[in-house]
Amino acid sequence: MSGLAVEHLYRYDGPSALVDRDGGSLLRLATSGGSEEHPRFFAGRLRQPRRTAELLRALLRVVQSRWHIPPAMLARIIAQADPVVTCDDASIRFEGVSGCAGAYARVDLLDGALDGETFSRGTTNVDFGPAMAAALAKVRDRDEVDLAVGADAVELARGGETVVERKVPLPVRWLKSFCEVAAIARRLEPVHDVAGIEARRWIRALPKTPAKRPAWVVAAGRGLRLAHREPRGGGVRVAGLSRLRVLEPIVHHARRVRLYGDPATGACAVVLDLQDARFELVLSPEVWRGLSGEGQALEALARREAIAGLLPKVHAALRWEGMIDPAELGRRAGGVDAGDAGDALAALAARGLVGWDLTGGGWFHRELPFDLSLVEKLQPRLKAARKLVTDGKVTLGESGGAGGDDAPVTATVAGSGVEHRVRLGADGARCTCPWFAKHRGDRGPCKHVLATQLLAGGDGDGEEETGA
Amino acid sequence: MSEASSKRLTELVEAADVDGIVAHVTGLSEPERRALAPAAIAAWKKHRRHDWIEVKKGTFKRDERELAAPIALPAVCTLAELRRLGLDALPGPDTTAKLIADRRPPWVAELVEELLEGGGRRWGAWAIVWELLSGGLIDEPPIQHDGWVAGLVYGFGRSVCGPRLARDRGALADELAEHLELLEPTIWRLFEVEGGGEESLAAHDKYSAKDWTWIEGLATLAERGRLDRSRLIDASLDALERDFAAFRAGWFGRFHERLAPTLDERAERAPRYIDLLASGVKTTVSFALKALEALAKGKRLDGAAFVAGVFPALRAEAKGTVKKALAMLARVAKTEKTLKLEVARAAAPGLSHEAVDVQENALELLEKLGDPADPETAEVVDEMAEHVAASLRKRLAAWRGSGAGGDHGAGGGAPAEPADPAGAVDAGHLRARTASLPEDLVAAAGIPALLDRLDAGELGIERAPFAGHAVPRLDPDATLAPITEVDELIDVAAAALETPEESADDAERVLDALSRLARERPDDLGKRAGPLRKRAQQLLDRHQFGEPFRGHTLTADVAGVVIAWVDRAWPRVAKKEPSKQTAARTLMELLGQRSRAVAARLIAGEAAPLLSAPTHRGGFIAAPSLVERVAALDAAKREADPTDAALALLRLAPDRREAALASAAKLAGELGRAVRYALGGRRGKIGPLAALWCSAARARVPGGDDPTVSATHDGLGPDGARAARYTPAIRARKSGRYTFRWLELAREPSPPAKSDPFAAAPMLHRAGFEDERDAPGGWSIASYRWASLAWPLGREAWAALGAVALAHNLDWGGAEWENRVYLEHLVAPDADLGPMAALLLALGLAAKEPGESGLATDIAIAAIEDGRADGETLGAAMAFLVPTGIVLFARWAKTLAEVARVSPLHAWVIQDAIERALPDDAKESPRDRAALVELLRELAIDAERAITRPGARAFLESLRGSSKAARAARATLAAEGDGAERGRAAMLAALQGRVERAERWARWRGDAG
Repeated sequence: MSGLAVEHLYRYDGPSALVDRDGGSLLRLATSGGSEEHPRFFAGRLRQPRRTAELLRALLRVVQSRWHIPPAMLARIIAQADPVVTCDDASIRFEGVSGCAGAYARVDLLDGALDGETFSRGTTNVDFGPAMAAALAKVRDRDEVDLAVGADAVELARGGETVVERKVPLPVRWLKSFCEVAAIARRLEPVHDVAGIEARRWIRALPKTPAKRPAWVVAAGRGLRLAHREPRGGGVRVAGLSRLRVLEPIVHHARRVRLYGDPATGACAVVLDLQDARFELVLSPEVWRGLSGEGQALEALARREAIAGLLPKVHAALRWEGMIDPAELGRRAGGVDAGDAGDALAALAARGLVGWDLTGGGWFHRELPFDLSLVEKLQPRLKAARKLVTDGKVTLGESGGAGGDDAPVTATVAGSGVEHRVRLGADGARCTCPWFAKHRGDRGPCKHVLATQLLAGGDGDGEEETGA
Repeated sequence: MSEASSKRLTELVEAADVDGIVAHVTGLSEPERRALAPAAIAAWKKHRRHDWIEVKKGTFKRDERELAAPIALPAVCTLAELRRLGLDALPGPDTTAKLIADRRPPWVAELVEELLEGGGRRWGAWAIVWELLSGGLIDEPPIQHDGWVAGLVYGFGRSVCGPRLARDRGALADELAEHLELLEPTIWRLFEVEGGGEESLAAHDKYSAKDWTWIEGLATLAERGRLDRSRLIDASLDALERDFAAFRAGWFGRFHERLAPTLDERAERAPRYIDLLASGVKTTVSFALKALEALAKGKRLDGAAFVAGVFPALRAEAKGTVKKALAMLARVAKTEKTLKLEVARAAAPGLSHEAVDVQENALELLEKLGDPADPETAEVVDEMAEHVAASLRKRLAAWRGSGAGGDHGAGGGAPAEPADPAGAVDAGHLRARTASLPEDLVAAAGIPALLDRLDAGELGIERAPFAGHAVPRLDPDATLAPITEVDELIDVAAAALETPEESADDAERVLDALSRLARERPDDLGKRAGPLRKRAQQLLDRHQFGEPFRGHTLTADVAGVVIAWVDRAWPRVAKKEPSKQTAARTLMELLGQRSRAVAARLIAGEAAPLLSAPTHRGGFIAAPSLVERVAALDAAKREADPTDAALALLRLAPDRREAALASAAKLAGELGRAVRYALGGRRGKIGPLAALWCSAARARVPGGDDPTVSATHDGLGPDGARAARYTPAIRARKSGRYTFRWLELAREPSPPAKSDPFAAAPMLHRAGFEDERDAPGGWSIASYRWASLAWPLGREAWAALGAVALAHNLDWGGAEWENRVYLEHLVAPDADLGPMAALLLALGLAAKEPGESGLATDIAIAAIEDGRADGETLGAAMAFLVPTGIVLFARWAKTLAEVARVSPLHAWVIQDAIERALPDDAKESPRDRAALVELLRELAIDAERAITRPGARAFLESLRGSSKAARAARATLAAEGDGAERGRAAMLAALQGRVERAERWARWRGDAG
């Protein structure tokens, strides 16, 4: 692992391929990692092969796109990251994050889109590169196309496939985005719901030149239009409009299109509803901001101390549900209160163990097949906050956090040549550092606030937690 | 021995003896080579930079040691060492290959792999691999490696043929022919590897002479029988099926056509062309259609297969593509009569296209070939019906009706109704709400005129002009709470420093607080404000924000006053104090002048109210607050800062002036008199401070002349004692093929040569075009926003500057992002749309930059809702611009269509505006008339409102012939009806908006029942 990236080994049992078979073709997706080395999840027929191929290609376009190249990220690093597939009790979900870490896309293939057999459930990586995209471009609706996510050992032996190995440095920024996107998506609220044809017209009318400033999507008649100032209500803020263009090749498939927004963070999402499939696109608040930098998961990570005892139980009670009912989950976890189960899910999301489904408005079980034990340590703000506590640079004010629930907690945090003043009150947190002045909490707490929270919350030793 | 050898190598490098180095490292044993590695690496590190040597005074030549330094590396370094140095460190391809051939290390294959992996310098790396291949160090071309394949595109020319000058080498085909045996497998792989950046066939051919393009090269080899022509045709189709990026995919389409497939060859591949209609690449779809068209012309197209596969082409964005697909469907139906119904079914999705003419073509096919009773067709058509253009809805409904016996059920082609029909507005209820509102506000909102028209059964919507003092401006929700505590001050100042673009109001609050709290310096101020002080200095040291108090940026001024507060000393930038005060020429300089005064008071420890601190967002000061501040100043027996005092009067809100005037009776001195005068007090003695009295005049009669002040101070120019009046003109200058146009505003009275450094309003009227564009001053959007708060009631002057700025950059010749700020002020729901604001809006609607035109669209939508804009206002501004040639009708058509589709009210006003904007004769308008005429046609037909304005009819009648515009004009002229139903709905919607606005004002004023 370098300071910027975590080495990840993709080890496939053969390359993914679209191969001819018995008058039709087979879309064979090779798997790597997860619960087994090469899990086998599904085999069956695609009911609308061309449409599914286009959705997967759109997902790949997101994964391979870099709408912004962070200075510290080498351009070629992330081009090799593969999407992740989850087979749960209701769907097959393909997910990926863009190379710049500012966009997340997911294709959900629901019951009606597939006709086949589910062998097991879980999450894995699928080999899915440009060659696969080129092969998918040739799929036509008249074709009979089978889909196999993973293959059984006999099949592989017969095919004589050679193992495909790729060691890829996955940038921390990218990994964190995958983890934090659930926290961001959970905050999003539905704002617009329009017919597919109207959405198509709106997407086509987007400015062709990259827009410098954010815009707001507002209703216009029965369709949508872009507003260039914040509307009095009912708008979805979108920055980096060019990122929406990835929807152009697939929006005509959509029956309905829903837009989600979060006025506080400025993140947004578009969901194409295809009746038996969905395409979900979540965008960061600015094109140069990754979903990883939003800090929405930081408090959940910091809060883990409070619910640490629950996490293993709640985690163990997950059953690859397509939509998790926290109350039911709590019951299964041995009588955990639904609210606490919800908090535990938020903390598990920050570790990549569950995702958020915008359409269902709930969590789904998905365990990212990466080594994420380091993610918490790789949260630079949380790491810096712990160091501040460890180094004794945080001094709580007189109340020391013991002045009752409503009393504000104040602290001074020693910085470079200055002392920052932190106040944690019922109206939120405040700090005198420039970072807080700039973002006012909409990108999560600053390291000084986090450090004060850690100290006031009793995690004063600054020890880093190991393991879930 | 090894030491001597190393020393010798170093000497050879210092002597730049390339041949000597090669000789020195050739034929050595591996241990001998390794012993030389440290010296070789050290020499390379020493000379790797591109140094230039001055050989005689003023003459430089490249340091040849830089070329000699890397020579030994491939002969002595391990692969790991080369990796560390970067493979870019390797010398030229031939030298590298020669030395590697001599050394024959075991890692040649690895080196090849890594050379081809590297980006950026791939053609150079490719050349090394080529040399290794030619020298027999590798057995065969690494064709499995994409880097090798993509590298061939440039690498061949640069390395294989590179040593020869272009004039000495043959065409690409000739050069390729010499190496074809070795290269042919790689050539076939070119159709599988997309490449990127420079390394693609498309990029190469774009910048190459024709005989050196790969298209010509490969096609020529095919003509000579050296490459399999049939395989090339197929390979190009294979590549197109891979959906490469449009730019790169285009090459394969062009290459395919360069091979000129015969009709037989095309017919053989017809299914593949049909499949390509589903390509995600627009140019590929267009290519496939052309190929199929050729087959159709040659009567070799399988109609049934085409009809079955054409659907993807009908959902294309490019209307030319869809129209061509529809035309081919028509051709198929003509030749294969049995397919009529299938063709109609296939054409139906064309109705969903955005372009009306495409929809019309699809409808024509339906009418001609379709069966409305066919359930499959009907399902598609019914789904599209509500999205079809107004001008086609009746036709579509008629067609559907004909098949369904006149009863086609819900949604069956019925004309689309607006999503939010204003007809639902209850007129009686609105009247009742109006009755409970104060009369002056009802009048200011333009309600009586609208009610009169409704009562009389007349159609028409006129804007409510509410300039001056007619309406309240102080929204209680927009109150700026004064900062009262040091910690809050630190917070707000920090936010202003970090987010200046959103902090103009906060900057004012900070200045106000510092001015008032100058003496409140807690003992631990240095500690508490330490982070803020540190940050302020950091920002000043960056220089990009300029100097404090010079009118450069908001950031510099806020940072400057923060430092003055904490240190009680002038801020220092680059160890220097701020430059001396100069007379302000721009609004930002004027604000800087005021910041400097605040800083001076902070350093002196003198607290005083900041007279000009806004009490509300947008720059307004509530009149009673100003009176209190002046009274406090009187009580402290302090003189007012002249800049501050003049600015304060200019910011007076129209609200609560009578009460303020009553409490201002005892204010002392010239300032006290000026305040009373500004608030509408009796005319009395006018004092000597010109800026102060001119501000008082502008506050008293914002849009009119003040003869009393004018009698004493008439020299400040427009918006001094007399209001500015504008005569706009578009000027043009030809330069070669280009004509540059700009807006010139003649002002009355004329601007003086030198402006008063304390008078903000006249600063908006600088003499001379360039000066005028620089009137706000400052270096950033944040500065423009801050400057724009100087005179909240003077929006016409601000809009006039904006019109000049936008007109100058309508086609976005330069990135003038700050121009957007001029438009932003028209967003405010009570910003009046005077002639200059309307002109700015009309220009904004025609702007090329999407941010500007989009914002203008938002403003037009809001202004129509608010009753600020009507067809007359907007139409007049447009009519002025139409004959000047500065605007494009197509841009207006796009933005106005966006506005019109919001509601029937918007559609009504926009139709009105377009009718008024059209000149009597089409010759006096831009040539791209069709789009605007088509929009007018859709609006007129949708509202069932015939064009009645004689000028507009004359314009439409003057469009003759068969052009698109002429056809649209005829259809527009044929529109019938008086628009009564839609007009009444629009008027009720307008009434609703106005009642809501009056109710809002009443709430603000505390008059709400």
